[in-house]
Amino acid sequence: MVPLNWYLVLAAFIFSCGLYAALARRNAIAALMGIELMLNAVNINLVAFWRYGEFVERLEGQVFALFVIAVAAAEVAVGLALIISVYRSRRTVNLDELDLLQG
Amino acid sequence: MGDIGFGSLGGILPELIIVLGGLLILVLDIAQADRQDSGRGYLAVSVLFLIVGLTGVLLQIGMEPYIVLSTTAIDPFATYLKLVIYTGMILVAIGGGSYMNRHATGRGEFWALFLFVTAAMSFAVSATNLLLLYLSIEFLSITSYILAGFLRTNKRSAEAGLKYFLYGSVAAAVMLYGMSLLYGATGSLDLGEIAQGLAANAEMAAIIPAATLLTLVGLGFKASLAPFYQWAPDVYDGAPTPITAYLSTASKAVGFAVMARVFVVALGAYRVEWAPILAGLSVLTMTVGNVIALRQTSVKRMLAYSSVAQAGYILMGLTAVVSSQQADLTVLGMNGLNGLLLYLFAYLFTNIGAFLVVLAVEDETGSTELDAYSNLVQRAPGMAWAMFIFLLSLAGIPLTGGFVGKFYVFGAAVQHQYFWLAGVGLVNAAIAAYYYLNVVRTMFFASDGEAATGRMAAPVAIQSVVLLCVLATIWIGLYPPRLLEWANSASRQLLALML
Repeated sequence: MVPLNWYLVLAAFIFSCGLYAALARRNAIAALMGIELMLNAVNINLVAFWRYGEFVERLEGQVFALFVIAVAAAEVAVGLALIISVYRSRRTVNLDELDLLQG
Repeated sequence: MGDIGFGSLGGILPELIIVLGGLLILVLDIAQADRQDSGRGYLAVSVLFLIVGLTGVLLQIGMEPYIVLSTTAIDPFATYLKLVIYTGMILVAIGGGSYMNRHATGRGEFWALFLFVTAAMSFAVSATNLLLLYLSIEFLSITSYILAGFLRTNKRSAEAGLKYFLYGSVAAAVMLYGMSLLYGATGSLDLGEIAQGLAANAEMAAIIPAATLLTLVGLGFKASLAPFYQWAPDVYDGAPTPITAYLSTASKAVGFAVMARVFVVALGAYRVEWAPILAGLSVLTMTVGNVIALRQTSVKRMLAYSSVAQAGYILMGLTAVVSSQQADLTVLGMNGLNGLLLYLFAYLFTNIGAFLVVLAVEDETGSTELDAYSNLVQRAPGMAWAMFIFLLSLAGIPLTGGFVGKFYVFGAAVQHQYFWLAGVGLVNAAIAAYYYLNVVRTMFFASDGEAATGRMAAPVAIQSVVLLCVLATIWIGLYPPRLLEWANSASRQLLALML
C-alpha cells in the first residue's frame, strides 16, 4: 500500500499551490480557484488520515470530507455572485483596482 | 455517543426557533406579491423570533451542562455567549433594521439571512466537535459575506463583500488544514477526545505547533487579530453600518469564544507553550489598531481600527489563561476568561451604540467623515452625549462598561505575572484615548465650520436603542453582581474542562 506520508506530502503540495494562487493572483476568479485547491488538499488529508487511522469503522474523516465538498460549493456560489456584483458596477475583477476602501 | 432523536433537540430549541423564523420569512417573501413592500413586517417578525430565542437562552441559565447530539454543549459558557449574541442582534435589528429596509433590495432575503447568521453564531459558541465548529463558522462566514455586500448598487458595499469573501475563505481553508492535522494526530473530531488523544501519544506532540498555528489563523481572522486583521477596516468601513455593528461585536465574540474553547478544552495540556505567541499577537493587534486609528479622518473607519485594537485587549484575557502554570485556575478571582467574557458584553453595548450614532449621522448628512460631527451637540444633543459615553467606555474610563472589561483583563495579566503585557496595554489605552477624545472635541467644541443648521431628527428606533446602550454601558460600569456571577460561572465551567 502507498504509505500515508505520500498522501500528506501531496496534500501539503496542493495546499501550498492553492495558498500561493489565492495570495498572489490579482484576478478574483483565479484567487477563488486557489481557495478551491486548498479545500481539496484538506480533503485528501482527511480521507488519508481516516483510512490509515486506528478507527476505520468511525467514518468521521470521510464525513468531514463530504461536508467540506458541500460547503465549498456553497462558498463558490456566494463568491461568484459577489464577483459578478462587483463586475457589474466596476467592470473589473482585478483586485488591485478595487481600491475604494483603503487607508 | 449521546442519543440522537427528537427528545434531545430540546437543548438547541433557541437555535431551531431562529432557523424556523428565517425559513418563515423566506416563505412570506415568496408569497409577497408587492415588490415595493417596506419590509417593516419582516423586521417585526425577526425581532419577535430573536426575542423568543433570547428567552429560550435565558431559561437555560443555571442548568447543569450537558451535550446535545454529541456535538453541541449546552453549558454556562455557551449560554453566556448566546446572551451576548442574541442581545446584540436584537439591538442591531431594531436600531439598524429600518436603514436596511430603505436601502436594500430583497428585504425578505436580508431578514432571513439575518436570522440565519444569528443561528450560525449560536451554534459556533456551543460546538464541541471540529466538524460542527467548521460548519457553523463557515455558515456564519458565508452569510456574513452576503450581508457585507448586500447593498449591491453601492460600490463600497460590493467591494467590502468581495474582500471579506476572499480573505475569509483563505483563512477558513487554512484553519481547516489545521483541523485535518488535529484529526490525523488524534483520530477524533471531538475536542475532549482530542485532548485525551494528545495526552496519550506523546510522539504526536510534533504536529501540535503546526496544527494549532493553522487553526489560530482561521479563528484569529474572525476575531480580527493582527496579522490577520487587514480585512476588518475595509469591510467594517464598506459594509452597511448595521452589518458593521454586528460584525465588530457578536461575530468577533464568536471568534474569541471558539478560540477559548479550542485552546482550553482541546489544547489545554499544551497551553503554556502558546502564551508567548498569544501575548505577541495581543501586543501587535492593539498597537497596529491604535496607531493606524490615529490618522483616520472617517469616524466609521476610526471605529473599525479601534475595534481591531480592542481585540488586542480582549486577547490579553486569553493570554492570561494559557500562561498560567497553576493547575486549578477556577479558584482565581481574575482567571482571565471571566475578564474576556465581561469585556465582550460591555463592548457589545458600547460598540453597537457607537455605530448606531454613526448610522444616525450618516442618515442625516450622508457622510461618516469627522467633519459631519462638528458641533453635533447643538444639532442632536442626545446623540452627542450618547456618543460621548460610548467613547469614554471604549477608552476605558471608570464608571463605564469598558472600564470593567479592561480592569478584569489587565488585572488577569498582572495576576499571571504578565507585567510587561499589562504595561503595553496601558500605553495603548492612553494612545487610544487621544483619538476617541478627538471625536468628542469635534462634537462639542468645534469652533470653525457653519453654525448649527437646524436640529437633526434621528429616528425613534435608533434613539431608543442608543438610550438602551447608554444605560447598559453605565450599568455594567457599576459592577452588576448578576453579570459578574454569570461571567464567573461560565469561565469556571470551561476552565474545569481543562485537562
